[in-house]
Amino acid sequence: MGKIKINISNNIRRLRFDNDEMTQLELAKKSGVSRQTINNIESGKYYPSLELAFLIAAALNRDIQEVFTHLKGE
Amino acid sequence: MEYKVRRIIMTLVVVGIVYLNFVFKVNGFLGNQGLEGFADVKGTAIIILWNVLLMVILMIVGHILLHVIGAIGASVKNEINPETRGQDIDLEELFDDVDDEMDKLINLKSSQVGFIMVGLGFVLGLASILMDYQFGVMLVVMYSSFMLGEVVEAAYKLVMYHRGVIHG
Repeated sequence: MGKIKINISNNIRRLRFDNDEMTQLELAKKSGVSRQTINNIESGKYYPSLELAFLIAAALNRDIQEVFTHLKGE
Repeated sequence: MEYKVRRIIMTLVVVGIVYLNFVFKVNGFLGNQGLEGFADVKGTAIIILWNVLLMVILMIVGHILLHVIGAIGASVKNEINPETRGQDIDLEELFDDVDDEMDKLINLKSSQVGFIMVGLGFVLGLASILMDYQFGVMLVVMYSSFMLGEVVEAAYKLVMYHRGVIHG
């Protein structure tokens, strides 16, 4: 049985702009991480921990499933 | 370029300079004696200790230069841009040194790679004793592996900051 691969996508970029054009730095400060980390998450180069994902969602005033979605595949 | 990336590049440059200096010093120390020159263990140890001291000093100077040049660069950039002219520089953004979960993961993964290099150097150093080389050879091999480990670790960090990092 093959291991399930999960690709996580996110809507951070769009949601930032919906939140008064929030910058990556502002979101980073609200989430307690560096701007580089937000940039990497946004471009799919890094998947955040569950805790950080909740923090980002809270900073964007959204539920976590609105910010992060996953695509299942074999 | 992010502050952390600049800091890693600075580390690479410092390690490169220090190791080059070490190679030249060892070359001069050995003279025409070849590897037999390593019989002078004390002399070898002194060269290594001086290099460690040089590395500490260069790291401190490098950090100071990084901050000074970074601040000057940012203020010049501020003045050139009409929108930001006269505004204060956000030092928190400029020297963003928050160590978050991604940095910790990158540090963990890169230090594992660095440890492999150091481990290899340790084994090679012991092997050199078995092969009846002078004790000084072992010191040099181990010191070189520490330096190489530092280079590989820093290079690996740069790659991960550029390409991203995944858990597991």
